[in-house]
Amino acid sequence: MADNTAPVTLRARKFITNRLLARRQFVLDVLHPSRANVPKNELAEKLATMYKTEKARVVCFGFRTQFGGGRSTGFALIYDDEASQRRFEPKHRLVQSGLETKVDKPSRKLRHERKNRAKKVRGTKKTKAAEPAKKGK
Amino acid sequence: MADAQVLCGILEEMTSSMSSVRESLQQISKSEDDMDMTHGISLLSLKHHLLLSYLQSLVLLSARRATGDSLTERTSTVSPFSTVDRESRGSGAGDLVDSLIEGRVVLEKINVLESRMRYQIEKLVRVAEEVSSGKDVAEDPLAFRPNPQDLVGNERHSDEDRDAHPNVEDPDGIYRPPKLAPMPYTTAADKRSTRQPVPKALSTLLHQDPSRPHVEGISGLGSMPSFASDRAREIQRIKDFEEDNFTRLVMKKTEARRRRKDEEDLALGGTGAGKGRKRGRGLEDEFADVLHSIGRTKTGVLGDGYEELRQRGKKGDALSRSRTTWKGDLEDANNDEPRLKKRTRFEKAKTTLHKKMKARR
Repeated sequence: MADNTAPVTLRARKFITNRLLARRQFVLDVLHPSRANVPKNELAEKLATMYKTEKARVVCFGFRTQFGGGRSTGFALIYDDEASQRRFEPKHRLVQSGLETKVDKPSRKLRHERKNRAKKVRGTKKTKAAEPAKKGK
Repeated sequence: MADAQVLCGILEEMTSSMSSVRESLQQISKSEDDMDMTHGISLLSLKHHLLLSYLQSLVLLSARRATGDSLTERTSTVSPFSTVDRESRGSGAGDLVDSLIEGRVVLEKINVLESRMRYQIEKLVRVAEEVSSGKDVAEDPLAFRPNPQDLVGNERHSDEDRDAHPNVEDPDGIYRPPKLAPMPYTTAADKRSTRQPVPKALSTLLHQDPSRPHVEGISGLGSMPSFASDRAREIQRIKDFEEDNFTRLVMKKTEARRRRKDEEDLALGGTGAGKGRKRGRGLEDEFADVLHSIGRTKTGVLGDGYEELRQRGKKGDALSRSRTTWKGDLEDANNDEPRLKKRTRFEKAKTTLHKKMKARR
């Protein structure tokens, strides 16, 4: 039933050239009659050919399919260059597009507990790995 | 004969008055008062000189008339009346008439100006009369006119420029109004919630006109959405906001689920109103706005939407009516609920201020 080679129509609405953020932004209507949602990668490829930019500069997000299928609406941004993309894009989208790596942190609760333990100790007395040993269960 | 006697009497009067004037003039010229008028009020000297020239022209005119000349011969004047150094008028009889007219007009204007300066003149006269009493003018506090510059705050006097030009704006161009009296600060939020909302029973008539035949979903795909209920309008508003601002709203799971279900209902031709088991009940769905308009009045739930309309027309009971003022202020013209407290003077000032600002807009 899901025909992955069926033609997909892209329509751009509310097109704005945002000079302040060095990008072009618009609402994207995707018509995909005999398919489920189109993946964002494929949409980015198609947009790159349409607007003659690289695929890495195109960012798609926020797609919602209308009830009954066949049509979804989302947003798309096309940046002028990589520098402005790195400056203006939020970090989670940069990680999704591969321009940045995710920072692995310990859980929030763990970070807070370590900080509160460190408050009681002055100077470079112990490393953070050694701290839980004191409170060990 | 009688005329000749009258004429002789008049001539004798004239000679006697002239001799008395000569005497008083001699006295004035002999007196030790300083006749320097340069520091006085020039308006009064102008008045005297004008009166003199008027009298002179009058005398000459009557002499001319007596010798039988016509009063219309005049030399033409080139420059208008208001130029400073225009030539004096010629000596024809018509010129005398012109100068008489001039003098009369200017004297009338001087009269007006003098009435305006009456206070100053009277004060100077009083000072002149009191000079002999020995009180120094500098010591008399009433001798000075009021100085409004003294009412300005003291920090302004430090800058010389400020003293010279008190009305110049601050260098950053912001106008700061003078703080004279406390004014109530009104925010936009105060103005927003002073009216009662229109009852749903009335506002749904705009969309659901009962005299029209019922129209179902002719619009099809993609054209103007016809909003069947408040919820449909709300969902459309959410969509418009999301598209305008390039975001998706962050919703709780229950809200997101409710939104999805309502969108599906609308896509299938429903009204989008009702939640859970109350959806899909036909008449109740269609009139859901009216039937379930809960919490729209301050007094709480009033049952169905028509109850709200019924209550609005009724007067309160006698006790509550006796406690309020009747049609007190303009603010309550839109509000039918009786007020329970007497309005203070500050609140009344606030109301008039609102009205003025509204009228200015």
